[in-house]
Amino acid sequence: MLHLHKVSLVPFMLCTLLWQLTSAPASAATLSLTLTDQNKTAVEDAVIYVTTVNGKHVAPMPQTAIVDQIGEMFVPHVRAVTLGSRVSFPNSDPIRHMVYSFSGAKNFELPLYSGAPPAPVLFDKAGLVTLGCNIHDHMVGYILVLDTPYYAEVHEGKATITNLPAGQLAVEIWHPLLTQEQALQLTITVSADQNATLSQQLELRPERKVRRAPHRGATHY
Amino acid sequence: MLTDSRPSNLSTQTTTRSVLLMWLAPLLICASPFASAQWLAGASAETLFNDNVTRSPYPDHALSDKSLDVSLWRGYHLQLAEYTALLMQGSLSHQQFDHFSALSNTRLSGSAELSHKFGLGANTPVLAFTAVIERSLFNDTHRDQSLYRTSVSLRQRIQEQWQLAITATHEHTNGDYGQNIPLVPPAPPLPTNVWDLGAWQLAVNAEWDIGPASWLSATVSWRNGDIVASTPPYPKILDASSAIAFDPVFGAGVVAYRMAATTRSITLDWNHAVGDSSTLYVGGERQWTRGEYGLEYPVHIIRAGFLHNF
Ligand SMILES: [Cu+2]
Repeated sequence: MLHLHKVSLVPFMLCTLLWQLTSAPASAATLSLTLTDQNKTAVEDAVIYVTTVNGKHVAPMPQTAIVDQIGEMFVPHVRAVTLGSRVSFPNSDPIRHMVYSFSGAKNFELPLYSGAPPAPVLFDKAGLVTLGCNIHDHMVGYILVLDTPYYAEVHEGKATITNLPAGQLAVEIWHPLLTQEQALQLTITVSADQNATLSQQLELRPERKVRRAPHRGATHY
Repeated sequence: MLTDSRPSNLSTQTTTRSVLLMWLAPLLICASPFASAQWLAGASAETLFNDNVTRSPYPDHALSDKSLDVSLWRGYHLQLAEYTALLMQGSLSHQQFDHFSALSNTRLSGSAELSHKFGLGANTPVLAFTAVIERSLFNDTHRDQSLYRTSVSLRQRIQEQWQLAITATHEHTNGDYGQNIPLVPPAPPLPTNVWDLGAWQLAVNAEWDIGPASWLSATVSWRNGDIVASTPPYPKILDASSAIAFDPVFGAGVVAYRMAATTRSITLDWNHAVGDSSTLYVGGERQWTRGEYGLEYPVHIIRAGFLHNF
């Protein structure tokens, strides 16, 4: 029984290997980013992505992704997904949340829920989607819908994009607190098998603190 | 001889209590297991300077004092429906005066706020109805009182940087006054229930962000209703008062009297978020009260405090 099982897996493994060999560039490059802000602090919640390779657009494959809700925060604060991806929004808090977005790239509203989310949400338009919770106005999160397969989320100032084709890459770096309107744009040339490194600094606005309404006693007249 | 009389506004109190019950009963029933509930808690400390604790219209009799107010509160937030929430809070507070320790008081308060948001988004207006019951016990037991307050408030974040709130409030204070000492003739025969007060107030509050962790809060209010002041019993005051009693807290011969008046006030506070759940604030308040016979009652308050949500 076990033996038969092993035999039956061989063609599948061969097919998988063949697919990986053909789908990945023959000599893939890697781009490693080190990202700090103006205070030399490692940046969290940025996204680096390649918009074109040698001036050409490369279509991505849709994925599934998760944006959780923990401690009245969207986790992660910034999620990058490819065009056509579906994102589910579980709620790990003991209270209910009501996720919505008014963004042009996706306008949606999930009814008040706790625990398992309703059906995943399809993101079929590239662009920035700002998330909110209608119960907790201080909850803000972002989904960056990318029309490229080449991207990475930046954590603790580090990100790596693998399986890059050789050539001239148009690269953008985005963060929700960027002082400039547009993402930072760069052009990088990578050769086959190269482990390219990139160090960048972003000008970021200070983050707004969560505000709690003062609770003050009555004035006696 | 002046006599101690029962308040003439018993029916108002009954109405206020009935209104509170009418609100609370269906809301508690609505708090079904399907609702989303959350416990909240916080503490605060405030130091305050008041340049006219007597609320005297005569600068010679205006007495100032400092106080420290500490408060602990516990809240229960229920999301009743997509756009409707109920917040119930209870708090225990103590205010300790530096010089006039007779004014030091302990307060137990309960409140319920039913709020409704008119749709999705952080900039959507919210309408809230609030009912507060507060019991205050003073070192000077003449001042022991219960306060009933109901208010309706409309608040809206206008832009990311600022928000506005308009609140209309009715409040009624019911003083215990059982031991109040009446004046004797030739003083006019007035009741001694000086701490039975009723008033309407309209307040407009704006909060404006001045930095990533700092914001200004400004409130302008108009109040029409009773005030209490303590001064020697001048003829003008005897004429204008609707209740009067001796007030030994501020010296022999001083009386506390109730009078109908209008009060305008401006409050300005600078707030600073410390971490994710604390706020430090410094601010001031100016009250202009105008009573009958052109009597003016200026009050200035300076305060600083710290609020923490657990
Ligand atoms: Cu929420």
